[in-house]
Amino acid sequence: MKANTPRKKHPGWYRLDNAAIIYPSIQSARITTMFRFSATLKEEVDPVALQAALIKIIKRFPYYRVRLNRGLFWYYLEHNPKTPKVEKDVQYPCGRLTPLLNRNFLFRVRFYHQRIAVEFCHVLTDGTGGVTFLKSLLFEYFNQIGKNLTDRTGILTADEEPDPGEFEDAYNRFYKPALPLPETGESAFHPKGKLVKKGLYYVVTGIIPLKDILAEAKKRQVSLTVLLTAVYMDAAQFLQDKTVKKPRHKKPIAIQVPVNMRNIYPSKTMRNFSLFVIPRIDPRLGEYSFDEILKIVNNSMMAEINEKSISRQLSRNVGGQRNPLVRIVPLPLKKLFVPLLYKRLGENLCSGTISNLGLITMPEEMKQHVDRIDFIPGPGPINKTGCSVTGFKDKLYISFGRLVRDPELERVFFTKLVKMGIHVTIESNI
Amino acid sequence: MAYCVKCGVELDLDLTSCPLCSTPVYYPEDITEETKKRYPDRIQKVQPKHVNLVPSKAFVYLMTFLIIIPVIVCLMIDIRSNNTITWAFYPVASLLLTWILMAYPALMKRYSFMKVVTIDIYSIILFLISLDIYSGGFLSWSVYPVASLLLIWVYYLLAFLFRHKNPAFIIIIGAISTGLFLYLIEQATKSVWFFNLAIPLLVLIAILAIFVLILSRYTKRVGLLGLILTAISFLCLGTEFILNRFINNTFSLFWSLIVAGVLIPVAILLFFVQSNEEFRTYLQKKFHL
Repeated sequence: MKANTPRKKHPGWYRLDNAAIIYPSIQSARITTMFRFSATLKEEVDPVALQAALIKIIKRFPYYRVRLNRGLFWYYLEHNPKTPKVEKDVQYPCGRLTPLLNRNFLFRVRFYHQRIAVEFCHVLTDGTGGVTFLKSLLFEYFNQIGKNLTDRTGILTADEEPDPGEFEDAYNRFYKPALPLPETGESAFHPKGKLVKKGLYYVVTGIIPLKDILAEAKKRQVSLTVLLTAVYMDAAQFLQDKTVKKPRHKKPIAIQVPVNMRNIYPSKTMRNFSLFVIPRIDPRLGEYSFDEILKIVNNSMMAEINEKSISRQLSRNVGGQRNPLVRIVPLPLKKLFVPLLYKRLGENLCSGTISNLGLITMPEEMKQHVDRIDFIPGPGPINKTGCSVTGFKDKLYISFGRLVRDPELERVFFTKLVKMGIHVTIESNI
Repeated sequence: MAYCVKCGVELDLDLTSCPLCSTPVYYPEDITEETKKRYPDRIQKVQPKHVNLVPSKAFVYLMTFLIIIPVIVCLMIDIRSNNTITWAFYPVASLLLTWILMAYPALMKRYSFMKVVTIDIYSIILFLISLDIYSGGFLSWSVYPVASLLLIWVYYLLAFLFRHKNPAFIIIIGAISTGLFLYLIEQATKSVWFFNLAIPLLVLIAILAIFVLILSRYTKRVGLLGLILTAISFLCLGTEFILNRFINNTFSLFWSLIVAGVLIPVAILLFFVQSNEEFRTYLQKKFHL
């Protein structure tokens, strides 16, 4: 098939999926809506081979080979006839999309010494889609430099046709009309602090031996995500106690934990398909000990991560998108309301986000060429700090990205882990 | 491998202070090997500001059809009822103008903002003149908007195309074109004020602007302010002189003397501040913010 012709089944343009519709309207120099996966290899990256691999692999992902365009009522994605190009890495990752300098693509591939990084705009996909793309790119890259990998379990390779299921907007497929609205809760505490200059984004990565932290989680009889969320929440509580003295001025602390909906609904989609659970504590009732937080987080995750509970959220979001009154509003007017909606139903309700992608798996023969996989969250100006977690081989990589100078939250978070007797190694881009 | 003494975390080799608490790191053993930084020093490029005024070709096709329908309807109704084109000329001409303004940039091979503005201004001028002719006189009311549009076009050229040329050139061309514009207006309104009022005022403004331009090379911030104040007082003096001569045919000055009496001493003080270093340091010392 020729490179520039879109696949037969698809007319060359796509509606944005339900989660993606808000991102084009809110994206700015602060909310870049970009997140990043990077793989560090055992040897220096060859840019020529990487470019060749990218050109080959993008044919497998036609839904990423798109540019963003405006219709009268909605944004849409349109087949981009240009070829994506790899670029050199920069100091501050997840920078704003620059369609003019980036051939209109909504993702970037960057390299630096031994590292290959892909940065995705959330309009295209979520973490699962991003990491799948990175794995495919790595697989193709290794073949380009003559590693000749054969085991391709769990990897989408360039020679196969994309599955129609990968294109779908799974939110709309699993939509059930007329469910009761989910509880939104009151607005949560947000860390204070002056934002740094636009374009700056500080990243701190902590590397932890996986077996240590798993042992700690096992000792407390919770999952790894619950443990990390609880530590995050405890750190946020500490921050609020430090800045807000009067108990009645305090606000609830809520941590947003993305849930991969592919584990709940049977979908192969490579576009967005995640929603959130938001465990919360209310410090106006008194100071919570770590064990109390752990219990609350564990219980609320248990209660909320199931098909029934999460379908309420899905139903609300898709219902809003399907409402005829909403659809008829022209795009320029929609653009005025979406940021408000995002603030009220998104950022305002939580004090931070911790996104755990879990252990990244790949075939054993591919694994031996890869050192580590990192996941950097996108910047958010309201909560200032975000957190992402990936596990690879025997290590856990916890990356914080922040828009303020002071790494207060990170410091409390990691010293908390150190006090549990876990060995932490710190890296940064400052 | 180094540890932060405060946080208890192990630190990456390339770090000179702890990223969490900023405590400087002391390396007990000398690290001789060149340690690579985790992230390069390169900063992501900022995208230049870009406004895309060019509609896509498909959009132009759509709009063309949408415009053709009212054109046909207007012509048909007018010709059916009056057997000729009467009022339909106005909507049809307006629709054609809309089409040109929209379609021209899209159909152009190489896009340039300059060309688009020029074409837009000239098509509007043509439109106005044709309306004027159709409604009965040749260049009756349309002189004013046409002359104004032409003047705007010249200013636009000066601001964008000739902005790197000598500023004196821009001032002179600007003054000449403004003069021509005023002359046209004078002729159109059949009144007499061009030679006795407009020309002297224009010449005064142009000369003062050129003087400020030349002298500004020899002055700095405070002096430049003094220079501008001096120019303003001369402008007031000159304006009052010209106005009095034109209206009353008298040569006495009144209000401009007050302006000059305030501004010129201030300007002299400013020149003095610029030239006398001791005085300048005294002022800086006493009034620094």
